[in-house]
Formats: sequence, C-alpha cells, structure tokens
Amino acid sequence: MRLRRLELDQVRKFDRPVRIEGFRGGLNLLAGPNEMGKSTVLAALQAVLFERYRAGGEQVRALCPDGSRAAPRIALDFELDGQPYRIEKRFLLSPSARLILPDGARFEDDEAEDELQRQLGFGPPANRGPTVDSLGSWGVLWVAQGSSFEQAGLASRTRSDLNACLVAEVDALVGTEEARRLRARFEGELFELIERRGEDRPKGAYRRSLEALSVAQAKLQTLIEHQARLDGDLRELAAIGQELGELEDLREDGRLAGERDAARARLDAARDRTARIQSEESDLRLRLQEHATLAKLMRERALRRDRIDGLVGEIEATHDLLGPLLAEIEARGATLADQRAELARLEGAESSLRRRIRAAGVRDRRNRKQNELSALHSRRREVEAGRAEALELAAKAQAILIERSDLDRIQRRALDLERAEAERLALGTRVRFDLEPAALARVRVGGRPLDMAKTTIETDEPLAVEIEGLGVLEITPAPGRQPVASRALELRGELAELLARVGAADPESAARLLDRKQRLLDEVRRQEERSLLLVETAVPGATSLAGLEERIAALEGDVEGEPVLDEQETGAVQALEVELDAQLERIVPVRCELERRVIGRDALLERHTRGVESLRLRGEDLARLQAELDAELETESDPDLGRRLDEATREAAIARETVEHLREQAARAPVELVEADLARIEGQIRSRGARREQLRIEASGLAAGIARGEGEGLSEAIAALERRCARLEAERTAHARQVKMLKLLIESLDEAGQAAREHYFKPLLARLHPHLQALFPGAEVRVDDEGRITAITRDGSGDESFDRLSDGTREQIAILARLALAELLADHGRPAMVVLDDALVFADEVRLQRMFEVLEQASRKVQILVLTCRERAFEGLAANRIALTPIAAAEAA
Amino acid sequence: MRFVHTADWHIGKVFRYLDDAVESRVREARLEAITIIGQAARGHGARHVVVAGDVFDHDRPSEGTLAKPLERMIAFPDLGWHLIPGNHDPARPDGVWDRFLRLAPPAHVQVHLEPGPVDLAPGITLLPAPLGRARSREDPTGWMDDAPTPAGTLRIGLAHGAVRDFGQTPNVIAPDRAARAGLDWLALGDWHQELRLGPRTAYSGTPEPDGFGQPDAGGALLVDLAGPGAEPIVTTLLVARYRWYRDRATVQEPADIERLEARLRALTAPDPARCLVDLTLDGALSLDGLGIFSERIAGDADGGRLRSALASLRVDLRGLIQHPNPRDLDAIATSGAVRTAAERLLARTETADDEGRSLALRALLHLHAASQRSTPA
Repeated sequence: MRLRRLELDQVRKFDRPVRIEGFRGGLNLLAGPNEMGKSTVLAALQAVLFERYRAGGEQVRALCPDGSRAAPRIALDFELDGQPYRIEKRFLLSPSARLILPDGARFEDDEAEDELQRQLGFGPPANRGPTVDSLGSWGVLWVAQGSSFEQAGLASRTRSDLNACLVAEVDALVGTEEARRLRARFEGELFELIERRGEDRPKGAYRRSLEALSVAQAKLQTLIEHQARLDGDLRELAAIGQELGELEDLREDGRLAGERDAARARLDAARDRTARIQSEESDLRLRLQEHATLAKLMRERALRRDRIDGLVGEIEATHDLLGPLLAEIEARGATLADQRAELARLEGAESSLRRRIRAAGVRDRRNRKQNELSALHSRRREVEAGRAEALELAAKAQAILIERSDLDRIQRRALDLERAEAERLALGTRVRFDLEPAALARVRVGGRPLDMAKTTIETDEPLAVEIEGLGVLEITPAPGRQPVASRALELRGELAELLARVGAADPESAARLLDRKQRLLDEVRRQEERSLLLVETAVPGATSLAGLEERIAALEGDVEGEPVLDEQETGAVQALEVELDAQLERIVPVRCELERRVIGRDALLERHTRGVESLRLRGEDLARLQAELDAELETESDPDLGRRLDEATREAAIARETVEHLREQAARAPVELVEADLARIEGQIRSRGARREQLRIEASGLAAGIARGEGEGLSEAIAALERRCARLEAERTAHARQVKMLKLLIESLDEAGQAAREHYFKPLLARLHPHLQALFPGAEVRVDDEGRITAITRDGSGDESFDRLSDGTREQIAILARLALAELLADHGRPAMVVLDDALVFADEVRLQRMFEVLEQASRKVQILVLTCRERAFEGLAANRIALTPIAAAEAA
Repeated sequence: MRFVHTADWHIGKVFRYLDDAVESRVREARLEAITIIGQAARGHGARHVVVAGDVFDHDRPSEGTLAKPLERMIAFPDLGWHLIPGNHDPARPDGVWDRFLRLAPPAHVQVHLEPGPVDLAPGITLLPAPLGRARSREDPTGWMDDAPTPAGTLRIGLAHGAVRDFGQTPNVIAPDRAARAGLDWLALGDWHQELRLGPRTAYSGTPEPDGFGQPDAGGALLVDLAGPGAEPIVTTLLVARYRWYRDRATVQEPADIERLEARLRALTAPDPARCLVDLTLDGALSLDGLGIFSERIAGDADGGRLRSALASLRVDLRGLIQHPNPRDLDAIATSGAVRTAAERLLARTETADDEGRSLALRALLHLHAASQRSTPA
C-alpha cells in the first residue's frame, strides 16, 4: 500500500481545507513545529480508513474543530498493488463514504466501507470505533505519538495476517496452540496434585493420602509397639512362671533349710572351739607364767648363790687385806710415837724457849697468845664448818627413812606381788574392742571414756561397758578368780604402804635411796674423823672440840693478863725469838713429817675402818642372803624346784600343743567364714521368699495387663492398619508417579513449543536480523508465542529482558520489529505501510543516524511516513519532504 | 454317624489388595460360610460339625471378630460344634481361646484345648489335637495311637498341621496316622484346598477361598460313618460365595484384548460380581492397544469395563512390552509441537533407565489419551 494524497477539511485545527501530496513510495517526512497538525494527519488517516462514516463516537467527534458542529471531511488517494484507489468520508453531518476503485467502479456508504475492509484486510470497527483487533496489522504499523517504545500486542487479526505470512514461508503448521492447550490441561491436572507455588507441595487427594498415610503409620507403629510390649509381657510372665515354679519347689526349700541347719551346727562348733581356744590360751598363759616364775625363781636362787659366793670371797679378801693393814697401822703407830716423842722434845725446847721469851717479856706473850688464839679460832671455825657439813649430811641421811630391813621387805613384797599378778593375769578377763573409731568414741568403760589407744582392757572385777545408743554390757569375771585378785591387790597395797613409808615410788628407787643414805653416812663419818684430827693437831691431847674451846678460853684469859716488854727484854726476847724461830724451824719438818705420817696412818686407818665396815656390811648381806636362801630351801629344795620347773615346762608344751591344734582346726573353719556361710544361706532363704512374693505380685500385675492387652484385638488391628498403610502407600506412589509424569509431559511440551516457536517466527526474525545488526551488531532476540520480543542477547552475554532495557533501546527495537513485520506483510502482497508519529524521541545522535539508515533500508519495501516536530534532528534522514498546503475553497468544493 | 468336617475359617482375615468395599464383603463372606455349613449339616442330617483349626486368622482378634462366629454357631443349637486351636490361633494363656471361653459359649459349642478322647455320643469318640503353639516340631496327633477307647467305638481324629515336612515345616502330622491310631476318620485343617489323603484322612479346605490359585477351595466335607471300621462315605458340600481365579494371557493386538475380555466374561459368568480375578499379561501392546485394554478391561485406578463388572481385578503388566508405534504418534499429532513432544518422549523410552522409560511410557499414554479425548469423533 502506498499513500498518494490526503485532503482534510473541518478536521480538528484545520477548519479550512488542506492537502498533503507528493507522497513517494519510500520514506516520507512531514516535519514541523508542535501544533502544526501532524497528529491530526495520523488521526485523519485512521478515520478515513478505519472509522465507519456513520460513526458518532468520541474519536469521530474529536475530529471536529474546537467547539464547532462541523462535518469533518477526509479524502485519501492511495495505491494497492500499484493501482490507484480513492476513499472519501464525511462524518457527523450528512455522513457519507465513497470508494473509487482503479477501474472506476464506485462504492458508496456501507458498500464503500465493506469493500475498503476487504481490500485493506481490517475488520469492522466496534460501536465506539476501531479496536486493536479490528485494525489488525495497521494498529501495529501505525504508531501514534508516545506509543513507539512499546511493542504492540498481536490481536487475532494481526496474528492471522502474520500467521498467513509465516505459514506461507515455513510451509508447516507448528501446532503450538494445541501444545499450549494440552500443556494447560496437564498443568491443571498437575496443580490438582501439588501447589502451584512451592516446592512440589502436595495438595488435594495427594496431600490427603500422604496425611492419611502418616496418621496410619503412626497408629500402626503405636500398635506394633503395644503388641511388642504385650509379647514382652507374655515372655516375662512365662519367665516369671518358670522362676516361680523353681522358687516354689519345696525340695529346694528343704535343701536350703538343711544347709542352714548344718551351717548353724558348724557355727556352734566353731564358736565352742573359739571359746575353748580362749580357755586353753588362758591356761597356756598361766602355764607360761608359772614356768616363767619358776625359771625366775631358779635364776634368782642361782644369782643369790652366786652373790653369796661372791660375798664370801669378798669377805675373805677383805680379811686378807685387813690383817697386814692393821700391822702396818700398828707399825706406823710405833713410828709415830717415836716421832711424836721427838716432836714433843722439840716442842718442849720450843716451849722452854717460849716460856723464856714469855718470861722475858710478858707483854709480848700477850701478842703471841693472841696469835695462838687467832690460830685456834681459825681452827675452831674449820672444825665447826666440818661438823656443820657432817650434821647437814647426817640430817640428809636421817631424812632418807629407808633402812636395809625396809628394802628387804619391799623386795620380798615386790616378788610376791609379781607372782600374784602373773597368776591374776593368767586368770583375768580380757575385753577387746574391735570397733570403728566412731563407735569406739561412744564406748565408756566404768563410767569413763575408753582410752582410744588402749582398746584391750583386762579386768578381774565386774565391769560396766556402756556403748552410747546401744546399752550397757556387764562383764563379770568368774567367781573362782576373786581370791587371786584379792591377794594381788593386798600385796600391792602392802608394797605401796612399804614404799610410801620409805618415800619410794618402786622397789628400784627404794634400793637407790638406801644406797644414797649409805653414801651420806660414810661422808659424815669421814667429816667427823677429819674434825677430830684438826682438833688433835691444834690442841694436842684434845679429843674433841670442847678441848679446843677450853684451850681458846684459857688463852683468852691469859692474853688479858700478859704485860708488855721493855727494850732489853725485847732484845732478849728477840734473841730468844731467834732461837725459837730456829727451834721452830727444826720443829716444822718434824711436825710436817709427823703430820704426813699421821695422815698416812689415818689413811690406813680409814681403809681399815672401811674394810671393817665393808666386812660388816657384806657379812650382813651374806647373812641375809643366806637366810633367804635357807628359807627358800627350807620351803622348797632345789630338786623340788627343778622338778616343778620341768613339770611346768611339760605342761606349757602340752598347753601350747593343744592351743595350736585347736587353732589349726579353727583356721580350717573360721567362725567368720562359717558365719558368712550361714548368713549367705539364710539370705538365700530370705531372698527366695521375698523373690517369690515379688514375682507373685509382678505376675499378677502382668497377667492383668496381658488380659487387657489381649482383649484389644491387636494383631487383627495391626493387620488392618498394615493393609491401610499399604494401600495409602500405593496411592502416594501413584500420585508421586503421576506428578512426575505430568511434569515430564509439561517439560516435553515446553521444549517442543520453544523449538516450534523458533521455527515459526524464523521469517519474521530473518527480516528483523539485518536491522538489528545495523543497530546492535552481533545481537540476537528471543520471541514469545505472540512474536513479541522477550529478550535480547548482545555480545554473547546473557539474555537481557526486553522490559529491563532503556526506553530508547526499547523504542528502537520495537520500531525495528514493526518494520520487519511490515516488510513481511509487504513481501506477501499484503497492504502494509508504516506511520511513525513523533518517534525516536529517546535516540541519541549515533543511534538516530543508524535508525535513519534502517528506515531508508526498510522504505525500499514499504512506504514509511515519519511525522516529527524535530525538524533539525531529522535533517539527516534521506526522505521525501512533504507538507500541508491549503486548498482553494473552490477546488475543495 | 454323620458329621461335617470343616477347617481354616480364618475369621478376621485382612485382604491387602482388595479395596475397602470388596474387602468388607469378602470378610463378611467368611462368616456367612459358617451359616451355610450349619444349614448344610442340618439339611443332611448331620449332628456334629468338627472344625480342624484356624477358626481365627489372628491370635489377637478384636472383640467383634471373636464374638461373631460364636453367634453364628449359637444359631444352630441342634448341632454340636467342636473347635480346636490351629497355628493361627494357638491356645495361649489369656489368648484368643481363653477370651472366647470368657464369652460363655453354650454347651453345644465346645473348644477342645487339651488332647485326649472326648465322647461325642455313646460309641463315638472325638480325639482332638489342639495346638498350643504356632510352630511345634512334634506331631500333634502322635498321642492318638495309644489313646484308649472302648471296643466298637468310632474314633474320629481332629487335627491341624501339614503332612509333608519340607525341612522346617511345623506341626507335621504323619500321613498314615488314621491307620496307625485306628481312626475311622482323621479331619485335618491347614491346607486351604480339599485334599483326600486316603480313605480315612482328608483336608476339607477353607469354606471360603482366601487367595488366588485355590481351585479346590470353598467347600466342607460331609462324612458318613456306618460303623467302626466301615469305609467312610465322603461328600463335598459347596459353601463358597466368592470365586477366585488366576489367569494369564498373551496379547499382541486389539483383537487379542477382545478375545481376552470374552474369555474372562465367560469364566466369571453368571455372577462376575462374586468373582475375583488375578490377571497376568504378557506380549506387546502399542499405546492404542493399551488404551483399548484400559477401556475394555482395566485402566488406571478403577477404570475398565470388565473391572467394573468383577468384585476385584488385579492386573500384572510387568511381562507386557508396551511399545508406542508410528500410528500411536500420528494419533497424538501428525506434526507440530505436540508431535515433537511425543517424539521426545518416545526417544526417552528407548534411552532412559527403567524408571525413566516407565515414566516416559506413562506420559506417552497420558498424552495419547488426552489427544484422543480432544480429537472430535
């Protein structure tokens, strides 16, 4: 189709007739400023071709100039297949239509409308005017202002046109409609089974079968568990029955009772044996004590004999010593007498000299006497000090009360007591506390807390043992043991009394006391002897301190009466004194010698005295020991004692053997073991009874539960539920399989549909391709069932959704698609031309230039009318410029 | 002496493969069999009915299942009913039979829980061999050889178990027990079809078949004993209400399907509603043939004309090769996307694994059916 000339009168802003002529076959451009009437041109073209002449709708009324009640008139000359046609329409007032065909034939009014529709291939408009559907391809190809960047939907008429062209080229029916219908059907079936949205979430019957299956399985599981419990209870009841049968077996009861009695008998025997062992051990201890006592007696007797022999030897040796000592003393005494005589002689001369001196000067005598007196005073003090020390020592000795006889008595009592204690111990009662420490702390013995370190006590008297929280144990020793205990007690009392009397703690300390007393007395004696010697040497002939004091008193009397010497006398006296000094010098060695000899003799005397004393003491000891020995021998001779010791040894051996034999027996069957055995058997009997009772109770409970469980018909219910589960499972499987199958069907149809679409739109895409490459080199497009471009792929990158492209790109691609469609229609001889009203408003200069090239290319096949207000921008478009020109009124008429 | 020998009632049995309605009727038929036996016994002048075990299918039946057979027997007070436990319902403490006895059955319904002679009437002794366990290695009838009965007494054994030992078979009964124990009749249960093991020993079979492949099931035995040592006269009484058939067919083309339908209809005439059929198909069918089979005999779910006529039709198609042919594809679409989709599915049936193949076949069948339905006649 090609436009040739358009005339307008009373159309919108054109209230005077105007004309556009000079249309050419290719690209035509009507450029001009806004309000020039470009859109009116497009509206007029649409009205003259597609509006019924009698139409009175809004679109037709909008054709009138503002506010006027005019009769818009439009005439269009055009070519179809190179032949000229003319259509003229008058609207609203006296509407009319006329179509003039190339052969001159004329159609008026409705006939003209029908013929025009037939020639151009559009449909009758609706009451309100032409629709997308009625316009067909023209609606796609003629793009009104502001619509150029949207893709037009293909109305059925357009699709039919397009389909006719495509089928003509691809020569095949692609059947996507049937595929779509089937797909919709299968999808309907699928979405009856699963949710439309969501990951295959079952619904409807599928979901119901799944839920029912889940419920049935849970119920089945509960019943199976219930049945398993019931079976378990049955097995347990059977096991209980069997165990109870065994427990109720009287033979086993009898056997256990027999074992228990036997164990009790063994325990009695073991306890008797233990008692006997204790008794025999006590006897053995007694025997051993007896033996020890006798052996000690034996040893003591031997010791005593040894001591006697020793004493006898010592006495004899002392006697042997004393004889020569006495002779020596006597000899020294004779020598001493000689020397004393010499000394006396010398002293006589001295005295003579002194007397002469005294006679020579009485007053000097006074001095001498004073000197002598002074010396005597000194000697008296010395003697007094010695006597005081002797007195002190004597007092100390006196303070030690013990005497030899006392010690003898103490030692005898101690020996007796030792024997009595041994006997008491042998017969005494021993209590041993083998308890936990906490329990021991609760024990009071005789009212006092038990010594924790001494858990074994011995008693021969009744004893109360109290254990807090448990009660009191009264321990009463056998009556036969009382005399022994009393005797020991009595002896202990006596010994204590003896020891107390002498102030000793025990026999050993008593012996030490006596020894100390003896040493003190010896020292007293020595002091006394020394004092005597001092007196004797100071005042010859004096035998005591009284003699010394008498001498002192005499001298003190003399001193007062003595006169003082004159010079002559003094000279004489001095001469005498010189002589006296010489005399004294002679006297001194003699006196010293005498003193030395006296001392030597005194030492011998002391030795003799000590020997005599020793003899006395030893004699006393000997006599005492001999008396004791004699007394013992009188009581029991050595052979008798030896026999008794032998007897005691034998008895002790026998007792030991008995004890060992009994212990050996006891070790084979200890009481604890037999007790444990008895406890085990008794425990067995008790637990057997308790278990019997417990099992009866359990059996009763189980039986009741089983009776209830059996009544529930479990196995039948389980079988019924298993059947239900199997059927529901089959249903579930069938649904799942159905879902899979439907998905596979839909997927197969989709794949086939896509392939078909690609094949189907191939002719259209082939025409679009060069334009697309001119604008977007290397680009490809995807189309939907409607042929609409859904996506574009550029430079090998991924698909870009059409809706997300920029407005400019979208508009340009939409125009390309329209051009391709127009070319396809034109290639198939269908009337087609493109009108673009104010299009490409979003194109930049580069794109605009390329679009010009595309438009020029396309215009070789179809006529294109471009209406634009951007005259300068479209200067580069190689188009035929057309213009609106007024028509003279006469011509118009 | 005339009595009815029956066994294996299996009251309460559950049938997994039957749909709910049919299953309910088949279960009810097992109870109805008791009434039919009672009526037959009465009609033939029998005085006793001996039931050789497996009265109940489960050893823990529901209260209803327990009471229903009793009520049926109570309706025949002129007959002595003698029941023994079988391997399905062995006598356990507090088990099914203790529960049964707690229902206080009347004197003419007797459960024999201990082995030992029981006098049915003067000169007639029943020797029941109840099972105390489901599986026993001992011959439950062994004691009968030495069971004393007065001279001239009719000795009737009643037991449940197999007569052949396949290794681990429980409750095996000596097949010559009747001769060894001097029995005039040994009434056996366990085998669900009637089986005569000699002049004096037989399995009566179950009175109502409970599975396919039991052509000789569905009856009870009327036993006539003229006197001790006399040859028994045994008559089969027909009891079953439902017939169970197992069939196999090879199909290659639609005509085979028509022949198969005709044969099955003849087999199940005149009352197909009381017939259950287990059908196994082999051969090969195109989608068209499968469509015809679905329509005429059995389709998915409960489809198929013949299936509608029968009480139950179970079909095994595992041996049938289902192969779409070019005509099938043409029937779907001769060209276009649908045809392409069909061809793609067909390709899958040749290349996919078993599951994928099966899925593709089903899809093809579905597509075929949908295309058929959408094509105007």
